[in-house]
Order: sequence, then C-alpha cells, then structure tokens
Amino acid sequence: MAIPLKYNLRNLRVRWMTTLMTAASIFLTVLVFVVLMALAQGLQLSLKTTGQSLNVIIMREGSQSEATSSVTRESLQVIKYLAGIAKTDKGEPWVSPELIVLINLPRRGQTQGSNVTIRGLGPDGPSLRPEFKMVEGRFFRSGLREVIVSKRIAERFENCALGDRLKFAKGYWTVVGTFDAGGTAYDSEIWTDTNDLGGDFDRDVYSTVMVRAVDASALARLKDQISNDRRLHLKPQTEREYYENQTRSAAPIKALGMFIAALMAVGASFAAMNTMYAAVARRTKEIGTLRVLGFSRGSILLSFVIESVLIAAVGGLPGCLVSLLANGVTTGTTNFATFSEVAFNFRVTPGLLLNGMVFAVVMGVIGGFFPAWRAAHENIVSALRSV
Amino acid sequence: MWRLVLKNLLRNKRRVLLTGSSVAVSLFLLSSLAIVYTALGKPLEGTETIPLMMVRRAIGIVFPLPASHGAKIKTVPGVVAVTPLAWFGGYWVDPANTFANFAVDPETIFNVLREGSTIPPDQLEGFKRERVAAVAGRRLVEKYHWKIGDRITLLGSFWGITPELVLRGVFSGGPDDQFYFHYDYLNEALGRPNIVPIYWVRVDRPEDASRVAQAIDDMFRNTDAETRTESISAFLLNFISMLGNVRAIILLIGIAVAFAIFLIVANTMAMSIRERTAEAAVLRALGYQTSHILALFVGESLILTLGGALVGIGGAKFLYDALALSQIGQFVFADMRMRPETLVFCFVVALALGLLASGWPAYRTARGNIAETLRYTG
Repeated sequence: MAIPLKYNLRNLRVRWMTTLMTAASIFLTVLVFVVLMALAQGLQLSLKTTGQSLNVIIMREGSQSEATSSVTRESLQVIKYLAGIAKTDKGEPWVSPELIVLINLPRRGQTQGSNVTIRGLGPDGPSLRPEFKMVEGRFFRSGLREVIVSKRIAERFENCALGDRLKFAKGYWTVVGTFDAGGTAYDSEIWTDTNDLGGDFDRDVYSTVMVRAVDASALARLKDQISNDRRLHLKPQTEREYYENQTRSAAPIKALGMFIAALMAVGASFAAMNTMYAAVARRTKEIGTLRVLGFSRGSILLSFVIESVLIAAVGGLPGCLVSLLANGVTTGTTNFATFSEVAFNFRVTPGLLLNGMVFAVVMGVIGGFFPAWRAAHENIVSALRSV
Repeated sequence: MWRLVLKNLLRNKRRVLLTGSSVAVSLFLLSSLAIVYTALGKPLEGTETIPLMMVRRAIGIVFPLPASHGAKIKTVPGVVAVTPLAWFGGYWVDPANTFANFAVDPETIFNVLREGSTIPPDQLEGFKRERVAAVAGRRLVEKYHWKIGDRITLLGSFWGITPELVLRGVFSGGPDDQFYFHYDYLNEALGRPNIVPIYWVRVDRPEDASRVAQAIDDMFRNTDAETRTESISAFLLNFISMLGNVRAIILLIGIAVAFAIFLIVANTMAMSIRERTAEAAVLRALGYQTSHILALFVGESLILTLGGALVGIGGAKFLYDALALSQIGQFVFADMRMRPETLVFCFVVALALGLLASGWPAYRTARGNIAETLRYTG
C-alpha cells in the first residue's frame, strides 16, 4: 500500500525554508537550461523554416555561402533557358539573379558594428519568397538607389528606419520601406535592386541565381543538368537544403547550454540529496512507525523519492514559467556560416518546457533515491528507539 | 577553537562531501564563465606591448584595399613596417587539416611580427628568394611532421587557386600556428587584380599607435577606398561584438550560478545549525560569548566554501592551463586563460558566499535566549 501524498506535502510545508532553498537552486538550473536552449532553438528555427522546397539556389562550386559565390552573366543566360524552370505570370522564366554583399553597420546605441547582408534581387526575386510582405512604406524602385529593410534589422541597427539614409558603396541609399519575412533568415537582410547594387560595387558578376522548378521531378532533372554542365562549374541546391546546412551554427550554443546546465544540475541535485538525507534523519522514528503499521520498504522508498520529486517540481515549474518571459525576445548574433548578422527570437516551445520539467524531475529522482533507499532499509527496532 | 570547528564540520561527513562537491562544481562553472567573460572583454590584454595595427576597408572586412595603399601607408611617420595580408583559407591534403594560411610580403612580414617571432636568417633568405617558398610556425610543423624542403599544396580555397609551395623555413615564438607564402604569388595566380584584404602595420612606440591610426585613415578619407585602422585587440573586440550580447548572457548565468551556490551552502548551514541549536545554548551556558558561537558557525561555513573553491577554481585553473586554449584557439577564444584578477575575483565571491550563507542563522542561534534554546529539540 502506498503512503498518502498528503504525508509528503505536509512534511514539505513544515520544513518550508529548506524546501524553498532546495527548490530555488533547481529553479535556477531549469531556468538557465530552458533559456539557453530557447536561444539555440530560435536560431535553429529561423534558419530551418527558411526556404521553399521547389526553389533552387545556384552557387559557384566549392563556395560555402552565398557571399563567397559568383555566377557570371553568361551562366545566367544558360540557366534561364534550362528545362524544368517554372514560368511567371508574364511567361518569363521564374529566375532571380542575386548579388550578396556584407556591409558593416553600427548596432543601435553602440559604436561597434556587425556585418549585415545586403541582397540585390532581380524583378522576380520577391515572388520567389512567398513569406515576404511589406510592413511600412513601399517596395524599392530600380535605378533610384532605394532599399527596403527587414523590420528586425530596422529595429536593431542605426540609420535603417523608414526615410533614413544609409551610406555604403558610392553614396547614400534611401530606406523606402520595411518588410517582414515571417521569421525566416531573410528577416536579417536589406534588399535592393540587383543591378543598382552591382553597379555601385563595380561587380560584373552575380553571387547566386535563384530559380523555381515546375515540380519535384523537374527539380531533380534541373539539378542534374546544372551539376553535369561542365561549362558552368555551378552547384545547385534547394533553398531549404542551403539553410538547413547552416543550422549547425546553433550547435555551439546548444553544447554550451548543456555544459552549463549539467554542472548546475550536479550542484542542485546534491543540494536535494542533502535536504532529503536530513529529512530522513529527522523522521527515523516515523519511518519505524510506518513500517510497524505495515507499510512496505517499497512504499517508503517511493514516498521519499516522490517527496524529492515534489521539491524539484516546486522549483522546475516556476523555472519553466519564468523562462516564458524570454519567449519572443529578439536578439542577434553572427551566423558563422555566412559571417553576417542573423536576427532571431528566443523560442520557448512546449517541447522545451517539457524537457525542462523532465530535467527537474531527473534532478529530484537523483537527489531523492539514495536517501530514500536508506530510509527504506532502516532497522525497524532501532528506528523506533531513535530520538 | 579551530579544532571544534573542524570536529563539527566532520560530524556529518556525507553532508560536507555533498555540499563541498556541489560548491566545487559550481565554482568551476563560475570561474569558467569568468574566464570567457574577461577574454571577451579584454582580448590579448597584457600580451601585446608594441601594438600591431591592422588596416582594412572602412565599409567592411569583406572588401579589399588597392595594393597601392601599402606604399602610401609606409610613408606615414611612425610606421616601421607594413605587410599585405591575405587570408587564403586553404587546407593541406584533407579538409581536417585546416590552419591559418596567409599570403604576405616576405620582405617585411618578420619586421612586422618582430616581437618574439624568430626565424633563422638563412631560412628567411630562402623564403625571400623563391616565389613558391613558404614558412610555417613551429607548432604547425610539429603537428603535420613537415620538414624543410617539403612540397605543400594548399587546396580548397575560395580564391579558386591551388598554390604548390615549398617549405623553406620554420619560425617560432610568435603566431606559431600560422603559415605564410608570397603575396606576389597569389596576386599573379589571380591575374594581378592588385587587391589586398588587409595590411598589418608595425609602429615604433606604443604611444604612436593612435596617432598613426588617425594619420592613415585621414590619408585615405574621401577616396574610393576609405580605411579603418585599429590595433589587433581592438579588431578582436569588434569581432566579438558581432557575436551579440554574449557577455550580458554570461553575466546573467554567472549571477544565477552564484545565487545557486549561496542557496546550497545556506541550506546546509541552516540544517546543521538547527540541529545544534541546543548545543550552542550549552556552550553559551558554559560561558562562551556570542561572538565565539558566531565564529564557530561562520568558520565552518567558510571552510566548506573555501575548500570547495580550492578544488573548483584550482581545478579550472589547472584544466584551462593544461588545455592551453590560448595556444590553440582562434578569434574569440584566442585569449582563454585564467588571469590573476579572475582567480582573485572567484575566491572573493566564494568568501562572500560563505559569509552570507551562514551569517543569519548563526546570528539568530548565537543571540537567542539561552533558556529557550536549551529547551529546543528541533
């Protein structure tokens, strides 16, 4: 027969100070764990959710990121007329030659800057990215040195708000609008016309070309044609593959989070162990009485483990709740795959909260098991005699 | 008195062991965080006496400078030596063998590095003489078992060329994990675009550094290629700032860890003081002063935290020294080492936590009414 849960709850209330202190150390551990994981998850999700499965990014063979790639104008002419490329409403091939440059912009309120991606797009570039929509102002017009800035970049960097003027390449560019790209990697970019940008930076080649395939089978054929064309020396990959490859940038944050959480967990579960050993020592006589009343060793073991898990839950639950405050907070770091700023939100997902609670319970079980084992194996007679 | 403290401490060995080890683990974490925090805040501080300056395009490091800038920079008063520096980004045989390889000016590179970096004169001559010659740092040579005269081909570079080089010298005492070859070789292989990603500049006296930087930047102001000149450590700082507010996150985690240590020690001390409330009353009845009792408990807490600190912080120092991250790391991890002030800081934190954690319960017990506390049964 199991010992009623009420027994544990009352005990925790009687020793409320110790319970709270132990729970608080578990609270801190869970909080740090969930928030760091939310950081890694936010970065990962912003890259993972980017990309249409039928879009193909065509880059130079051997280049790791768009910024180090180059595609000549002659190659663009070859690519445009490959079979399997979808047509736009006007009946043109659905293709966008793009130019990527990184410029150093100061973060708001800081003198130190960070590299921000400026993407020059062809006329069909925006329609290749259905997640794109304007927030304020209007779309840029070509030939007028106009740019549109993603909302997250506009909030985080100087001179990027609607109506501001940005200085790069040969002069000033006017911000005529802000846009939102639905939490994808494009939310960390500044967009303008590809030929304006190329002209200003004296580039006679594009960085990449993006095309839309008609369907999945056309996609495979299209990729084959490009990889096998010895004139081109180009590498096709779907937009989704390209961004998924970058999610490894979240790995160091994850590893760091695990390392910190693991070390903090050692401290917290040892504290729980101390508390539970003290609890067992103080209640030796009670344990003896319970045994005499007919409660088995197993139910005593279970009861003490449950008590420890309760302490952990008292810490873990608010830990998870407080971590929700971080959800949605925008932050930014440098994506080392592309060497440019990536802005993203902390993402506290239900799965992450569950992990946090499981983590707390595991600390509780580790902290409670040995003291509970000891309680369950107390000699009845000497336990009853103890003071 | 101290014997009594020790005896009390060892009364519950398991508790001391558990608390001590959780303090040790937590302080290990805290000192690791402190090391990263200072490394990110003041990279290379104290390791660089005469500043090495770096000139790059103001608009961003991905844009190159014209090769003609080199000669102009050389004319700035206070500048001792200038070398172009092109990050080549190749690997040797296998992508796993990635190391820092640069195209530089062989005539001046060792004048620019100067500080501590030495190469035998005949090897330096060999490096200068041939266009395909290269030199490598001592650690690289040891790692890949290279010998002078070996042919080394650098593969996989974004520059799109694969230079076939001959090792002509080994240098040591400087950036020993780097590899240099001729800038002219690179420039020629690319079809003479005459562009240079960055310049390294050596100035004569530390106090000249900021004046020289200003003079170089002024010289190119309002040209097509404006420059930004700063010391290598300032550049690293800039680089670190690109990571975002990592330092703020580390600081917050550090505070959480410190608070967790406080809770763990306070809990342990509260438990052991509560168990001994009656004993303390007996001691006071025997004539011990309040201050004695206080010292007894606080001393116990201090031994516990400082013991844990010794293991945790000492362990961190030992581990990070042994790993020698400052030797193998690059960029932001270039300067991960336990500095004396970090060491002192961590111990001060441990001391403060030990005092804080035991202060209140010890004070209450030491001051309480003797008759009442004698009756206390727990």
